[in-house]
Amino acid sequence: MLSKDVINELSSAAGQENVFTDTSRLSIYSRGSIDSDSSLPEIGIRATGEDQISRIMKVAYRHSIPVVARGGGSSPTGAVVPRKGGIVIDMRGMNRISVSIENGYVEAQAGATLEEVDAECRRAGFFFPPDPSSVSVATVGGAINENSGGMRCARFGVVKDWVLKLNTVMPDGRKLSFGESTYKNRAGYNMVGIIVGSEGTLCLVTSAVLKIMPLPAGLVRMAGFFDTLEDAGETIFSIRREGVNPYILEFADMEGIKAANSIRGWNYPEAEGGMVLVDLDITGGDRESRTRKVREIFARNSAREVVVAEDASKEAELFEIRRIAFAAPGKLFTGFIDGDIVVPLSRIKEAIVEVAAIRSEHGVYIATCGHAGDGNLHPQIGADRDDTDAWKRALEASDEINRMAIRLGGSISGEHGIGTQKQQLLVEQFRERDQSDVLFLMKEVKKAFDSRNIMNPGKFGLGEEET
Amino acid sequence: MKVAQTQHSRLDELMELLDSESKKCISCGFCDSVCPTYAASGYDPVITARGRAQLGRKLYEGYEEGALDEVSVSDSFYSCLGCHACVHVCPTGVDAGRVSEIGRMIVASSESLKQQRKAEAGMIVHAVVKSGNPLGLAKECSKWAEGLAFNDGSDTLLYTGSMYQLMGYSAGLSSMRRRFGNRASALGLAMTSRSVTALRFLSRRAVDKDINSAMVGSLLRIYHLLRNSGVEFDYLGSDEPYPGTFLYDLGYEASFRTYARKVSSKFREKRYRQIVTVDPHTHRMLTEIYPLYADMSGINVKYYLDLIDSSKLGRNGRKIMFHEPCLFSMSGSPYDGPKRVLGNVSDVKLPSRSGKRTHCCGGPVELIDGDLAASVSEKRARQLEEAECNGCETVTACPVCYSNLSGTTEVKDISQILSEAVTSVP
Repeated sequence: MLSKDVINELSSAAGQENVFTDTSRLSIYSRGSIDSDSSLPEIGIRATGEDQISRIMKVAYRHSIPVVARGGGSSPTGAVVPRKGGIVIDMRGMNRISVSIENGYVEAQAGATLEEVDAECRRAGFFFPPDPSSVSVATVGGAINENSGGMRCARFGVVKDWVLKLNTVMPDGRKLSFGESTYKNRAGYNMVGIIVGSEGTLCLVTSAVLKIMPLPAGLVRMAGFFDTLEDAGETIFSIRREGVNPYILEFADMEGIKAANSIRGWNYPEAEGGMVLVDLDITGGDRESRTRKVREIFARNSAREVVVAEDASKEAELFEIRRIAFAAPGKLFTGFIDGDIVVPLSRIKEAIVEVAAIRSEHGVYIATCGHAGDGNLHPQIGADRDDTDAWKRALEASDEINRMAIRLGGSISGEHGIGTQKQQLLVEQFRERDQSDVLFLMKEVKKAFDSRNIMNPGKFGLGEEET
Repeated sequence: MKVAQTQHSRLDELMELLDSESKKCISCGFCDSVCPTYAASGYDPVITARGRAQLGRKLYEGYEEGALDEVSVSDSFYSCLGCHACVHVCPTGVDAGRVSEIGRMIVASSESLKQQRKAEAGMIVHAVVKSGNPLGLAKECSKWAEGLAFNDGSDTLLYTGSMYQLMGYSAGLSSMRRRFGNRASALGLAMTSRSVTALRFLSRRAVDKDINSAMVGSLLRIYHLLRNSGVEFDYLGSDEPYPGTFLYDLGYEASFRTYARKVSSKFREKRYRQIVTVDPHTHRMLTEIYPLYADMSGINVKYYLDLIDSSKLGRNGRKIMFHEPCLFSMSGSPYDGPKRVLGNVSDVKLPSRSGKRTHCCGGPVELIDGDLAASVSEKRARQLEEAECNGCETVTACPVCYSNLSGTTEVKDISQILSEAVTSVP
């Protein structure tokens, strides 16, 4: 419990007008997305600049107060839940963006959303490739701390592949930057790579320099709807194997399509095998010739229906099916478990089919979607939390899916991270791979950055329960 | 006793509605990306759609636990613009605008939340109930029609709902509040004392004459456009009742029900079979809300643009950047009349935020939070100015949008473009 004196110190460091202590506002800061785990912070502070954050961190360090930096608050793993109370620093107001075409990068403050960053880049004919489906709410700081992925990652990789430099405030309030505004840099360890994906446990990212790319000449978006999961899985595999190199390659199962039809009033085929969504950036020729190869693959795998978007509105609809599929259980159930497994590309069909088998075996609702092009699936589980038996079966199904990913040579998280939700599973994965010493090294790194354990404590396999 | 039971029962129903709408929220925050009040409030976590949906859940939980008064919701629900941009990006179909609407009804009807009611809302509701006009200005609202001919025997009524007429006054009051601060301003005193006379006096003193004159001009043009299209209609002049939009929007449902029944009785007594509306807010009230609370059977409500004879309008070569009304593009039943009719005479372009992602003008919260409304409208004005459209004129089709945007950027009402496109006068 923060004393009145400490709150006054923080208010004076942050500016009284930026400080919230009322329960209503703190309750919004108490949780992330999907996962209903919540914990009230004791104070919420709106960030206004690096100097202000430095002053806040000095107070937090002096009194050993836990600090969680919050961007869009869309993490589904509990990574933004202030488990130990303390301070939530809301970064959303720090959102300045500056594009440098000459240098091929964008410099953005941590609170800018990826959509805002992308929009600024597009004005100059460029774009920022990583695009989580939460692109409209996920912030630069959040995406860096979660090493986010997204639809275009099958082609362009995840956030870690695009970060050149980070400006941060360390737990004791020192300002420290990592990396350079250059495309290459061999000065020292890859410290940027350690901070990217660290889930806010090391330091507080205030701004970043990110690589950008010229926009593609034009995209064609198309979708195939399949009667069996095997056909859909084989289609994904064939597109990869036969050298199509799609711009995006996504999957949404029947439950996801049903959810989109129900919420938006559409009538897309609610096929057992779901939808495979493909964007192509092939240049030259007409639309017919540019889409021929994928059409052939769709036909060979018995697609029930193929839709090629003829205008922006149809493109948006197909994209929206995939986006809604991610949140499908939210409309139907009071409990929602986020899934985020990744498997080697050759095992994607197996993984899709196994998830369906787990669904039948446990009698639970699962809507599976994902970035099939990079082996990343989101089996989203829904059940009513007050139905003890149903919720227990949902948790069991979730564990089984994660263990299946480990068994197939994959990982329990492709892009959403560990947070509070997957700490035990992380330990299991390391143990299974004979990598338990990695966790030891992670804890040593944590100590080197944050000796007082104030940065987002109790998360990422670094919680006291694991030490 | 019977009344108390009825009120209790309605609160239960409202709570069920609140639960049903808000429990689907997974707190993903997608709605924050389109909610105009989020950025305008400096990213206040409750002055945005996600905050409203989440506080809706908290309010319901508080109700279930018998701790309703411990949940502070007022700033959040009353700051909602009701534009409904949120529902179009929500992956689970939550309408935070609807959550706020139900939430305001709960605040207005629950004794436990009495302390959270807005003084401004109470004053406006009092003025509507007492004088039939939110600012006590029923007479002023009919002045635009002095000297015009109407058809007393017509079964068609031109119903302005006083919206165009009130804009100059509400803009003036809002400006006064922002200049002097709410607590210190005389308006604040009037609100506290609930004096309609004082409110009327202040409104007259504060009136923004430019907006007032532009609004009168719009009504006159609408009148002539309809007459030129051969439409005959009656007008009630100073007897025209305000539709009670504020009563409903501010959550005073019981007062609204009584009021709406009075208004619909008036329509029925006069045996009107067709009512012609001229602004989106009044149109939405009569087509979507009134049928839920009052008897509107046998009365056909038409928007004036649907009655304009397009054969009497010619293409004028003008380029238009069109700011769509939220109520026609994002909430309730979509209506494309303004875009369609404008498209018949001009080259119509839309800003990047349009259609189901239109950005509100900020107007709906002008009287509750003038600073927030101004911040929202400034952002929208910038979006309209930055849209790449050389030589475009910015056009609105709603008096609230005109009033709010005209403070920052040059706008024209749709009636002006259409009037200037008339080629054939009988």
